[in-house]
Amino acid sequence: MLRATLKGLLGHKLRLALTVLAIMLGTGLIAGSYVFTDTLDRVFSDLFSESFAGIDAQVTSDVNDELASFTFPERLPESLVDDITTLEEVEVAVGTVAGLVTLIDPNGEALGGFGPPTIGTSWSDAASPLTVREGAAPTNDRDLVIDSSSARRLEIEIGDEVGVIALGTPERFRVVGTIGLGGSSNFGGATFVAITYETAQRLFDAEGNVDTISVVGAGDISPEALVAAVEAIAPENTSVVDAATAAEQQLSGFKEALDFVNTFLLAFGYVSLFVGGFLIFNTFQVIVVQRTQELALMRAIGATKRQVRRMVLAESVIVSVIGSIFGVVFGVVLAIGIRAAFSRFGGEIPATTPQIQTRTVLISMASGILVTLFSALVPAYRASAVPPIAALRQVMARPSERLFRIVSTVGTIVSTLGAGVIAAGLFLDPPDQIPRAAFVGVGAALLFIGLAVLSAAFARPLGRTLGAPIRVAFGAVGRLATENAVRNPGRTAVTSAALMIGVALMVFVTILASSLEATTNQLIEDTFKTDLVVQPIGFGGAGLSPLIADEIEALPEIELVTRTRQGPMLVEGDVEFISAAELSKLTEAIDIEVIEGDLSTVGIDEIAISEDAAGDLDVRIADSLDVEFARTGEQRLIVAAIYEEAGPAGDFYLDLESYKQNFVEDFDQSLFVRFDRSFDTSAAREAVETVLDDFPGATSLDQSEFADQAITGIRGFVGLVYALLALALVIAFVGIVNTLLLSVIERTREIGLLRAVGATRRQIRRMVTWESVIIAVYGALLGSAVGIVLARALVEALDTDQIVFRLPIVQVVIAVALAMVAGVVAAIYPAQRASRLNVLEAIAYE
Amino acid sequence: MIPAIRAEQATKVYGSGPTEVRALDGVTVSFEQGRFSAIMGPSGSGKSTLLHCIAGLDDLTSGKVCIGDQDLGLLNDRELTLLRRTRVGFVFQAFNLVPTLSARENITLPLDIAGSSVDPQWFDRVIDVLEIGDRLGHRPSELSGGQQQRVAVARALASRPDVIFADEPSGNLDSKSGAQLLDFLRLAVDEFHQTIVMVTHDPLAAGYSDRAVFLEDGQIVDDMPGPTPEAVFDRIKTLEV
Repeated sequence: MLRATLKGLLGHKLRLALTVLAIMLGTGLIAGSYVFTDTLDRVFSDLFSESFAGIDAQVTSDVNDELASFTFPERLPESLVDDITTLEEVEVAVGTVAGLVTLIDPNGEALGGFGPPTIGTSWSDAASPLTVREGAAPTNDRDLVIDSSSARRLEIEIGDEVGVIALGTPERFRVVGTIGLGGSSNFGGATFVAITYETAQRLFDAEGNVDTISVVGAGDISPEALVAAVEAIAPENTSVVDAATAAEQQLSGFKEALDFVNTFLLAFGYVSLFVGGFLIFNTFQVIVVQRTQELALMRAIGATKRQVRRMVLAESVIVSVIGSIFGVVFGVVLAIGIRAAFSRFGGEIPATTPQIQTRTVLISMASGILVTLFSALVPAYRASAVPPIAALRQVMARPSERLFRIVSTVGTIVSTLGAGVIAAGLFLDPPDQIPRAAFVGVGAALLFIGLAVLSAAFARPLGRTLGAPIRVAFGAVGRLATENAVRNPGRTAVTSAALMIGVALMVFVTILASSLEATTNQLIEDTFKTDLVVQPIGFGGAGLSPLIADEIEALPEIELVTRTRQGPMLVEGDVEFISAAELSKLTEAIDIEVIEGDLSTVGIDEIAISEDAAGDLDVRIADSLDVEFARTGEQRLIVAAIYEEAGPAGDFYLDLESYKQNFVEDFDQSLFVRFDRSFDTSAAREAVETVLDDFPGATSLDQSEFADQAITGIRGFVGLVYALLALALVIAFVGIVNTLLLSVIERTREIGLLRAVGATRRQIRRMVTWESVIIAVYGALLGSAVGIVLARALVEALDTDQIVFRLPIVQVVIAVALAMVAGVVAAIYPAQRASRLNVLEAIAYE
Repeated sequence: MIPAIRAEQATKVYGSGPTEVRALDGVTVSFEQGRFSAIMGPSGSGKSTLLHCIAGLDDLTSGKVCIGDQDLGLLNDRELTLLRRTRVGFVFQAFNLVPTLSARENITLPLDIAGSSVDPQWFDRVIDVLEIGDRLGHRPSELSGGQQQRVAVARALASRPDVIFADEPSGNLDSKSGAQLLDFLRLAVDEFHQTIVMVTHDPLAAGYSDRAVFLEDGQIVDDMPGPTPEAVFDRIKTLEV
């Protein structure tokens, strides 16, 4: 049987080529997700282990692990460094001061911008992983060294002047050297600058304190013994860990984020493969039909049903193995593409050798093989159902009324089930072990399969309706195209269903994005009561120096400045982000409706909380709420105000004074600025801009600029999602080419007849093209409808009247128009092939 | 009068060197207008090749074929297609009809493709003669073999072509339906003065024609006016021995 299988495969090379392509594209994104995240994992594992090179142990303030990756811990007293140094187990101990900075070029422009942060640290010759690459180490308070890859990227050379902003105004430094991390120059994409210890303490406002203490043990003391010795003299709330543990701790937070990215990317990989499954199904269905006589002959000469079934399944396995192998290779290429996409969206990601792990290959291939096998299951059973007698006569099965009823019933049941599972995931409380997303994912898969089946039942009438204008415009050719599009309703349905899925997800995301944009605009319009917002440029740099608010406040043109800050805290074990502001002035700056209590009098040990959060945490006004801060540990706060959640206000508010006590960070996140009405608006803004000229890391935005910035962020993310969904659409597109090609091969004789009775090549091409357009538009329309319904359901499920549901009519029209174009393009090769058919061969009988 | 079809030294060679096959070897023949001609010959004699070449479906290696006064060798693919559409009708042995179209749509297909309209009187007369008036709304799969072939004849007649080429038109039918179909072809010649050229290996079919041309190894070996099945049968026996 194996020989027959192989012969069968070779006999259908062309027919299977596109199937291999589909499997390759689908598994490619799965492999690509793993390769991308494994590669990043590798980059950062190296980075974190390098960052502890030459150090045996590290001392920091004890911070809850959950909070550690979002904030800085409390500083340690400098005296502890001396205490540790005096231990006989210790050879050397070095205190380090570090923080986020913004680099400024000689023209006063901020360098870097969006992307990984710029980190400033104190330089030490001993107990430090940093090594000088070129030039010298910093020796006086004007010296600075920068990591060599950033120097290259930012075109900074030794001898150049750069400005650094930490907490105050920019200070000028002279670049005296470049540094590396141990032997490598991999800082994970971050920019690293080092200055002398004293300068760092001054710059980060840390006189008498250090952030971390790096310890090198004396002789060949074991890390455990060293840690124990240091721990013995360390004060309470101090964490002493050996270097390996410290590296692992740093990596674990990062790995969590990486896992999330991986899951996100994999979701799109599985969507692509799922879409590919439809194409595979079609291919095998067609191959089985075309080989009816051959299969019947095998049965006639003694092959069992089981053997025939296995032959088809074996074919599918071989095809999927080939496709998956290509897929893994393609995945490596995709990983590079994903890196580029993320770089555009989130900043530079360091390049390294792509990591291809055994697990990646196994999972990609297993996914490809399983999806293919599953898709070939129905065709295999169909093949085994071919009776031996079919070898002797042409059996043309015609879809019966009964089949129609079965198809519609099965389709209805499966799609209803899918919709039900989605609804359960969205509206009910699923059991804790299963995430809502799993419900929605499985439900959506069922819904799509159900709709594909169901649409087979309606492909005929709907396809004819779509074809009506084509009949009118193109007469006989239009009629032939329409009838061809609906003559195999199952095949058309499955082909267009693949497109339906891609379009549905695209429309879904588009609706959510445009709703989110509308909501954002609305919120900003509703809550933004001031004239300007001052914000730091980019994500990765430092915040705003508190001096900015001070200087703007001092301007005569300004009536009001409200500063806000942000930070993490633990509430009932979860990390929540808390906002802080000068609460007495907050209601002046943004529209925030207080339901109970008084926002403006929230004190040091008090907290304001949104109505939603209060409900979730089951606290009322004057109740106490236990929270944990990275700096100060567990704190009991009294709920002093409850407000309606709105826009920029998060779920929790602290007064600025309380924030200053509980957080190490001493910079502002955003400033709300209101002009004095007796001054001209542009003059007032001019005055603010003049202040900001001294702080290149800050920028001012008016209401519409602020909204634009928020929307640019949404659009960037949507762009990334589009790029990932594009693969599923490409596969659906290949599916259309596949179906057309298979149909053209199947209809060789009919096309020959049309040519014989006078159809021109051009008419044949047109016929195939319009068939393609009908299939594509059918899929796009179904997809748009499903996408709209799903988006509506999600908005309902979010159960908030704050989201403005926006029907993107223009986008749906564009989707359908693009589908038409895709249909035309998909038809190019099949139509060409059809029009080039040799008439004589097509009509030969013997 | 110009003959409907004229072939001069028509030669068709497949392959080259030792595998060379001369399917047509210098055939010169004319088919008169308004007559029913049969091309006879055993398998491999070149009769189908001759039909394909004089119908503009295949090109010659050398020689010349004219339909009316039109030299087919001077036409490109598109012009040949338009010629087939307007001046030629076909009836094949099987698979004559487009399965997705009704009988009526199949009959008017060449006209529809050409974008020209059907002469309703002519259409009615054709379907009346062929007795398929009650089957027009049916799909080919709902018609018997004989009905399908009659629909094919109606399609060939619908555009009033200069000539209809029939390739074993009764070859796939039982004897009764086959005889009926040949009667209709005869009727088309007698009633409508339609020129028909038919390829067949069946002496009974040839008996319906006005003239039988015999082919062997790509060359014309005999030309029999007013053939009877018996005479044709005898002639074939000598050919095949």
